[in-house]
Amino acid sequence: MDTFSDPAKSVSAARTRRLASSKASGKPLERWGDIEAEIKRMLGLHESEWIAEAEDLQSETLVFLIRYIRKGGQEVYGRLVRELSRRIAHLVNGFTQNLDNEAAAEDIAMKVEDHIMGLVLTEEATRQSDYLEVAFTKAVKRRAIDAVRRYKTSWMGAHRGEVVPNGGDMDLDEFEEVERPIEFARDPGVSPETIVLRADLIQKAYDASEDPRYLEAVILHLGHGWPIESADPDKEDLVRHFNATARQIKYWITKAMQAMREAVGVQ
Amino acid sequence: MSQNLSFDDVLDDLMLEEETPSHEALVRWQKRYPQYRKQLADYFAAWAIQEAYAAGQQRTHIDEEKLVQRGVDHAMETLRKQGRLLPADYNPSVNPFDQQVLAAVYALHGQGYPVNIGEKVGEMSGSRPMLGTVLMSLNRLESKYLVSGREITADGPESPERKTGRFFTVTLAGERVLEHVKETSPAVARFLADFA
Repeated sequence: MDTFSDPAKSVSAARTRRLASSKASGKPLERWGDIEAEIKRMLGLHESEWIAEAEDLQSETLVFLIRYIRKGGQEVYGRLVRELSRRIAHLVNGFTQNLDNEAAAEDIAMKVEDHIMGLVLTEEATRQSDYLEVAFTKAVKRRAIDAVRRYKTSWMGAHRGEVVPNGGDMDLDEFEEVERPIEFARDPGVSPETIVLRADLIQKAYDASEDPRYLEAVILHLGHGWPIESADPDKEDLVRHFNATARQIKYWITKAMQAMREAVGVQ
Repeated sequence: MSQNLSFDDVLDDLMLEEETPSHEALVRWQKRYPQYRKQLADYFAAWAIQEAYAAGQQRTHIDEEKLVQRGVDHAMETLRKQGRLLPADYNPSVNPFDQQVLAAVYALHGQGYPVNIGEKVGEMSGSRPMLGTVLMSLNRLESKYLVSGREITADGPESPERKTGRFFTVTLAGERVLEHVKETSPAVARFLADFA
């Protein structure tokens, strides 16, 4: 138990606002100007005001304040940690929507939350903990994505070799030509209505697809430019990614697009 | 350095640089980190797919409140183990002079530094204390986690009359102590009433 008998030690404990880490390029990690300004403002307020403002603070500032308190009561830690935890849970929830498995989604959410909180509360700053003060949402998002990637990789590993429904005995010639539906054209000036339509299409296509990979192939190929098959061995393609033939993938894309067309009433 | 980065570190850098999981970005990152080629491809695919689903209707429901409570409990346990959590009934003894310094820090609302804190104590007690005495008092209060000091190294709106120095605010534990002090010290109670 700390007896508080060494004031010199406690007072000299430097709690620096500079981040010690750097990017791979060697450029030092730096907080954004608005975060720096918010931190500066908060440090001029009493802790009771931190509690009152917690809900409105940027996540990077919350991380900083939790790390800044050398020793505090349950009330101040609890309020700041709860707010941060609420944001993590909400972010992760959004990124586990394609699992169709609530137990797996909850497990991933718990792991991501534990990982992030572990970094926030670490006593020695690391590159990863410093990132939380630079780009918190991206740091949470990337862990959620990576956790889902790991989950799906293990799931796909366990199911590799299963027969693709209808993939082997269809007349694949009719699926040779894959059209780019207008909803997926990458238009930088896309309207909010189109975005809603996309989300709606994805939902419909998912519900109608026999295999989630049908829709995933559409998203990667038409949404993000992945080639079905590339002659360049350095270019990642869907054939390699899904470990399927080009014909199978074309069939998947065509089936998913059929579902989308039906969803919007286009034959 | 880039060759020695863990995949986690690579992903942190990647997320800072890329806004969308485009195939062109994937190829670029695979060239930069060929040792993580497969993991990067899986990651970009997962990112693209999850973003698409995240924009759609919610299909998987997790109990966020349960998750938050669990996270808070876990964090509190970690803080307790680290010795960073003060006891719920934390109420250290504070001598009368330190009580006045604590009240002065509170009244100055983040703008207090040793000189003007001493001036406020003088207003309260009728005699201005020596600077060294104030510094020692602040040292004691900070070691008891009742005030928190911060270095100001640049000029700005925080301190028009001083460009650099150590400024103080009151912690939540300090405010609790101050509540008790107000009940026992009429001088402090009167002083703080003027700032209420």
